[in-house]
Amino acid sequence: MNEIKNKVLDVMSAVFDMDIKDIPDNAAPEVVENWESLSHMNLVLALEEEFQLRFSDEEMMDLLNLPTIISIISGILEARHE
Amino acid sequence: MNNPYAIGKRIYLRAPTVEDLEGRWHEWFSDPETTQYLIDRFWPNTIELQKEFFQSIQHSQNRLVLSIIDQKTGEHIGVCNLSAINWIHRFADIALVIGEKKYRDGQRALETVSLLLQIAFLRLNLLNLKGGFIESNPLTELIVKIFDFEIVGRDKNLFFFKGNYVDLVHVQLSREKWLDRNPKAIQVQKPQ
Repeated sequence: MNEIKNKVLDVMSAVFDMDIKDIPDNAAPEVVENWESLSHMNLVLALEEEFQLRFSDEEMMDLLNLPTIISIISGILEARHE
Repeated sequence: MNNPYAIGKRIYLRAPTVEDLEGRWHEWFSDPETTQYLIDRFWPNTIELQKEFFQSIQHSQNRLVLSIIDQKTGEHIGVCNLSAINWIHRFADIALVIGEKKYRDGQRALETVSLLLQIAFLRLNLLNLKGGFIESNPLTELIVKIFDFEIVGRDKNLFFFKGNYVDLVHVQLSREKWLDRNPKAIQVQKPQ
């Protein structure tokens, strides 16, 4: 889980142009100033590229904050190994 | 929620109401920032024109217009539609506008597109969705990529945009391609 979280933070840091240390554990558009329209879309595409996956529409609607993003990606990666 | 037609995580879609007309709906289509990438964007909109539009969609069988409502606040934040629905060849045009700027966080736009795709492919039994966007519209370009719309053509230098002539890009998404990314969608819809 920590490995996934670190990768997600790397991606967020690049997309939002922020230091990782400035991204809070509850990161969401309401609390991260740089998380706006364009950056959210770029985040979705960058996460798909980083983890080599495609989000379904349902999963995409759940990409609301850092904890749910980590949880969704973990679920997708775990399902791959089942 | 009031009369929901499709429900997402943060927004829901419902039929437009007379109350929507009394709000800021008409103002969105006069605002230069909101309309800058729209194909019809040159004349100011008025509440009278909005009422005419509202009347015109009431019994339309080839245009589904839906209000986008923020679940938390109940606020009417935008509008979306499937238009020019062709019931023989089973295709339609897709479009949306998030009119209220404070809700332009990307998430609500993606949710709206997700819900419209579900409506088009699973409820209306359409086979293809198409759309057009003005080149240099970064947001639509990203939406197109995220949802796997394919660029199928261009009208070269067709639109005058901020001093330059730019292309109109035509895109299309088939139900088959959408189902590749959403394999569970059909299973969910199976009757018990």
